Amino acid sequence: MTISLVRIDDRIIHGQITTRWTKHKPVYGILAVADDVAQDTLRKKVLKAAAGSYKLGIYMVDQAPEKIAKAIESVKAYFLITNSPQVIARLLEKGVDIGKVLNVGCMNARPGATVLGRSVAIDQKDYEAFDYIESKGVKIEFQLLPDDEPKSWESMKKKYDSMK
Amino acid sequence: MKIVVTSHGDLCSGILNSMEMIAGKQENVFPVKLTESGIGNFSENLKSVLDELTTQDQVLILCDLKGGTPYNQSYQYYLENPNNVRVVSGLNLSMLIETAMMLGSTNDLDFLADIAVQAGQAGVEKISEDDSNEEDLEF
Repeated sequence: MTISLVRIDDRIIHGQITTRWTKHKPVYGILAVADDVAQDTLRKKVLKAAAGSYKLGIYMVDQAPEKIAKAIESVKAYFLITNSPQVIARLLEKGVDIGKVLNVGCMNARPGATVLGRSVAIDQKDYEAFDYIESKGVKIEFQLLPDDEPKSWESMKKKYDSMK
Repeated sequence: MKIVVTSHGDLCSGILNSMEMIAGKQENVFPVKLTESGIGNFSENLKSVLDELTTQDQVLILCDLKGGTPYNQSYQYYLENPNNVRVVSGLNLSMLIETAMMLGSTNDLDFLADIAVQAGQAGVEKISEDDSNEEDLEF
C-alpha cells in the first residue's frame, strides 16, 4: 500500500497539507478526486501551483479507481485527497481499497451543515457517508494537523445527533 | 534547538500567529520585538532571552531586516557566542515554517540556517501562469 494518507479536505491542497502532512508521511504525488474540481480549469491551475514540487493528478470519481489502483501498486507514495466524504463513499461502493484509516481535515461551515468543532461542519449526506465508510471497516479520524489528537466518528456522530 | 524571531515592531509576533494558523501551536519559537521604548530595552530583552535559551540549546535567530537593529544586535550576540547561535535575515513565513518543522529532526545548527536561507528564497517568486498540459500522474 503506497497511499500514505487518505484525507478529506474541502480545500484539497493548502498550507496545512504542504507544510505539515508532507513532513509527517512519505509523499511523492497527490491524487485529488473531486468531480467539481476536475471540471474547473481555474481551480485545477491554482491547485497545481499549490502542490508546488509535488506531482498532482486531479480526477473525476469515475476515473479514480484505476488511478488509485496504480498508486497502490507504485513504489512511490501518494496522498489521496477528496473534498467530501460522499466521494469516499462512492469509491468504496465501487469496491476501491482505500486502506484502513480515513483522515478528515477541513470541512468548513456552509449552508445546511452543522458545525461540530474546529473546521468540521457536516450535513445529513455527509453523516450518512461517514456511517457507510465506517461500516466498511475504515477507521475515521478527525484530525486537522498531525499533532492534533484524532477524534472518532463515534464522538462526532454523538455531537451531531445531540444538536438535531 | 530553538528559534528566536526578532523584528521592528509586531512582525515577529504576527508571523508566529500566522504560522500557528497553518502549523499549530509552537513551543520552540520565541518572538522578541523592538518597540518604541528604545534600543536599550530591546538589547536587554534579546540578550536575556538568548542567554536563557542557550544554557540548554542552540538557537537560530531569524531577523526581519538586514542592517536593522534586531539584526545588528543579533549579529553582535553571535560574535560573542559563535558556538550557540546563527543569524539569518530576511524573515518570511516560508523560512519560519520550514525551519520550525525541522527542529525535532536535526541537531545541526548550520544546516538549519542553510535551510532557512533556501526556504526563504524559494518562497519568493513572481507567479506566472502554468500552461503545461501535464495533468496526469505517472505512477
